[in-house]
Amino acid sequence: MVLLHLLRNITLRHLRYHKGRTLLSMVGIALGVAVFVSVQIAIHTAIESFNASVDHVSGKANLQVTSFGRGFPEEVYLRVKKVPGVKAATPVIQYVSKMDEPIGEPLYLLGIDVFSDRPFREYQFYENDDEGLLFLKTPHSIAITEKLANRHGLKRGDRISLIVGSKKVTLTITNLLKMEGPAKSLEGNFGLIDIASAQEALEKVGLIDRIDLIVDKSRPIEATERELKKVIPPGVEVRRSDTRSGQIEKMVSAFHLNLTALSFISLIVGMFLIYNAISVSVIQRRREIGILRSIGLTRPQVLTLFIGEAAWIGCLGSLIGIGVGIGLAKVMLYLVSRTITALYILVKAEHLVISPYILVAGFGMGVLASVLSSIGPAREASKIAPKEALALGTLETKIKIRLGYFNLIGVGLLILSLILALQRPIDHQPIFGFLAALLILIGVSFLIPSVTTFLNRLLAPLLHRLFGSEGKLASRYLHDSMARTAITIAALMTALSMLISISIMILSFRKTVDLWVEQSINGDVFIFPGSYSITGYSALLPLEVSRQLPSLPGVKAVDSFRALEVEYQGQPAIIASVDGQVFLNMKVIRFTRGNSQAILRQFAAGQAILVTESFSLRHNVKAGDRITLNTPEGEKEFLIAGVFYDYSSDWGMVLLEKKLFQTLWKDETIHSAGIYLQEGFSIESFKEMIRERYSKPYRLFVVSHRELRREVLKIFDQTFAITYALEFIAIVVAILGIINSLNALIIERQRDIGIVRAVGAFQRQIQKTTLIEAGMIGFFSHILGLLCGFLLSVLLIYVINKQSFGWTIQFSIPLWSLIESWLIVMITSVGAGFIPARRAAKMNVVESLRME
Amino acid sequence: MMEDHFIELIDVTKIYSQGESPVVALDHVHAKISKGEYLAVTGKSGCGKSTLINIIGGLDSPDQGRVMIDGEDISLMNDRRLTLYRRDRVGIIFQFFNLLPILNLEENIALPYLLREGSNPPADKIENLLHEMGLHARRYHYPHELSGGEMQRVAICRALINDPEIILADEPTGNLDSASGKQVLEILRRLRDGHGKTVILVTHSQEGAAMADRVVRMSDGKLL
Repeated sequence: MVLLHLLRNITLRHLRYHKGRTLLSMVGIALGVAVFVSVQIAIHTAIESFNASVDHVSGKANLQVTSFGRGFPEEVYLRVKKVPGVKAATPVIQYVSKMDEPIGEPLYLLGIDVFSDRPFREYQFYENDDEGLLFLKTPHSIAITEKLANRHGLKRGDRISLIVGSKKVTLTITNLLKMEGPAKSLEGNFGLIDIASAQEALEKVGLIDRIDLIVDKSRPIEATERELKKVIPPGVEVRRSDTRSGQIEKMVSAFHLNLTALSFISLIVGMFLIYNAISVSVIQRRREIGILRSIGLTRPQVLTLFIGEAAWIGCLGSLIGIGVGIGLAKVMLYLVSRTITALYILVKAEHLVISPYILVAGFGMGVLASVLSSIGPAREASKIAPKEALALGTLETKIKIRLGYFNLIGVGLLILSLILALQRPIDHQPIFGFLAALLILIGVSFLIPSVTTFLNRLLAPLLHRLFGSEGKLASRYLHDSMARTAITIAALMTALSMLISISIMILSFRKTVDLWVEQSINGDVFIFPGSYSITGYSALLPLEVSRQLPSLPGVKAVDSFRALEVEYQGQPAIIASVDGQVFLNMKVIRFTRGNSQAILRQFAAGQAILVTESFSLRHNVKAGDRITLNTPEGEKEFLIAGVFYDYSSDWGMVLLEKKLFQTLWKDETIHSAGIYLQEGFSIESFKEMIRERYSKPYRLFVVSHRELRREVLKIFDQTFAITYALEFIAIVVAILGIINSLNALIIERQRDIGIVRAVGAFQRQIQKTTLIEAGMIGFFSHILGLLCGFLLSVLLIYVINKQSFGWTIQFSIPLWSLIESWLIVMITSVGAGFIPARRAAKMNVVESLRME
Repeated sequence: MMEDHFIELIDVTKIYSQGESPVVALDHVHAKISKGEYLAVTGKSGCGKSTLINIIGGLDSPDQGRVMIDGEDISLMNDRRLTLYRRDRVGIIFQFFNLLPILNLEENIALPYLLREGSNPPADKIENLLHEMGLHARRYHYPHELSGGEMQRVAICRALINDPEIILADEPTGNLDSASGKQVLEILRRLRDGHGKTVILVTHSQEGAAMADRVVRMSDGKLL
């Protein structure tokens, strides 16, 4: 009761009275919570949207017969529907096409059998007739959603052009769907067609992608599964419908974890702000604490009082943060969806899915962060002796730092982080790596007083020479208020070190990918299906084109590429096929070890396969091992000839020689072709020739090596845009920290400033001193940020990134970025010093001297 | 013929607001102080002595009236000119010493000079002051390592480093034992006798007042 009374009558009044400081701390926590909440909502929405699409399209099916690759013969359907326990079955073809320009949006095409589909999915049309779905039997007919039609001014009877793989297909809109059931897939970018039309459009006549089943629930589902397995060919699987949902979580788990870790930076930086705010509160209320203690308040009560103050700031800040986070989530969703689509799978989400758990977690984390960061200053407050606080002339409130003790803890934590960094991942997640990163941040923070003292001592003569008495005073002040300055430097250093480490990681990664594109994807001209950017591996080049390419004039060799998205040991993976001779003779493939020519000769001869580094790490296999793959010819064992560096996917890829693949999968289609031209043959003339030959029936994407490289790097940069956005917010929070901290120092030094003014310092001299100090905080933060950022970048590149994605990145230092960041830090630090400097200069001398 | 006064306060009034009610710290004060005079101001606590010192020292401005220093009205000065006045012409000694804890003894003394010149004072200047005040052995000590008397002597040195014409001492012995207090009062007297400074001493002590050329009493913001 006493505490509640004190909280209400004292703490809240202080918070109201010191609005600026309270607001600044709240903003710090609010931004931290906002970033966390927005990132979580965005990822959750993207995942939920994908899962909802899967569920809508699966309808009432409880089992599915499916395969990876081009599909399986439709005869399987006839056998499956006769299996005991199967109450209903229907064949399905699904495909994400691209609506032709100028629309250019993805369209989820569901090809159904109009006769057997009815028990599975319910469609609601704007104009119903008695014949049910039979209108789809009209040649070139499609039903699209009214939402899509309205958005693009389409109506019944209009024609719509789709790029299906590489083919341009024109269909007539015969009906409009309401946004119900499967129509909700891809936010209404959904088209329903007859299965026969789909087979024709996709050049898959006689093949189907899936059979949906409703099975008798009175029988054990396992028994039905066993019966089904007896009638399906090798390479085809029976799976429960609910297992498809949850797959995306597996696909994006590494991305999710990394982004979540990144979203914590702002919150960590915000914690320093709270620490400072409570520290200032303790300093200002020292006398008040003395009085309260002298009239009977206990030490634990003082502790609780200040923790309560932080909790209050945390509560309000978190609530504001949740509001801002929800607002920010829309932008974040755009960035997250774009990255997931570029790296993993097409995601289209418009409406935020706000989980109460995320909001509660955000709130809880904000409050917890505030409370944790207030414990130090609250303990300091509780230790104040009444006599000491009440005595006149005891302005010496500076916390003494025991440098040796701090250094010992700092070095100890860095050693511990090294030990953690050497640990293996847990369930493919670099949990120890993230812990090591946290320990590096804390460890270097403990070293701040020593490093800053050393640098300050080193720079003091220079500062004096450059800035005269103000430089000297600033240097002395910085040294004297090390306990507080160290916290500000820690906040800015944390934000900067993350910026620096991520910049180093991104630049290193970019350079590695650039080199990889240069060496491994080194054809002269590349041909992709027109819908490749949206549909990824489900888009294929027309057989007519892929068959003719090797014999076209000017072609020296064709580097063909075919990939299947599969599951290997419960994890998403890619089985791909390439031309072994092209790999052997035309490319520079870098292997983790072994003689590359010998490995490639073995591969080209079809005697062994290759795996990517990420596959090797994910599944713990190496050159010389054998792995078993599920092929249409049944399970086959393959020898791994070598592990090669590849940055196209973090799922892990198994590479088979083209002939071997075609023998097993009976599939000669390809996704893309890299063309090596004969000496002297012009790239432009070849591109022109392809356009002339194929532009009428097909939509192909033909680019030179330079254009492809540019495109790859553009996607790369887009992928990391979100990282920079989160970093930017962390820097903003850190800048608030400088303002907060300098304000704290000014309050703490009020009397000193009064004295200096009394003995003859101009306002501008006080202002200049504070600005120099702000600049020094920025400078030291950057030096420490460089040190910490370098350590973190090594951890990011060699541990976290490697364990998350399985990629080896060549270390590079982005010198220009570092110079840029230094300039930004110096300008913003000095800029942040302006408000406190003005405040210091404007202080009333008499009041300052009378303050005790 | 009008007498030429170095310091002249004409109808100076200063009112502070304490909550809702105004407190008159100086009530239409008139005073004249000659160059080289040693004036002691006595009176009870809260009678306005410190406000008088603050206003003459350029630390505070009157609400009404003029404060003429050598013919120039400092109450009309802007902050910059007031700062220059404080730095170059006045040395202030406070009851609670007001030394910067981050600076050692020598650095505290040098501070006003450093602020004016941007460099440390000549070594002999500091040396002379340290010798004169008996602080030579303590030159590298920090304020918390000094006794009250020593701290006040440091404050006097600091007040003298820029060779000001006016020394203002606000209860300089109020926080000292009697021996140290006596020592400080003697130094102040020496400043007037040996260096020709104009000294204004605010004091409670009879001993301090006795050393002055003239003693004025203050009561309720008025000079009696």
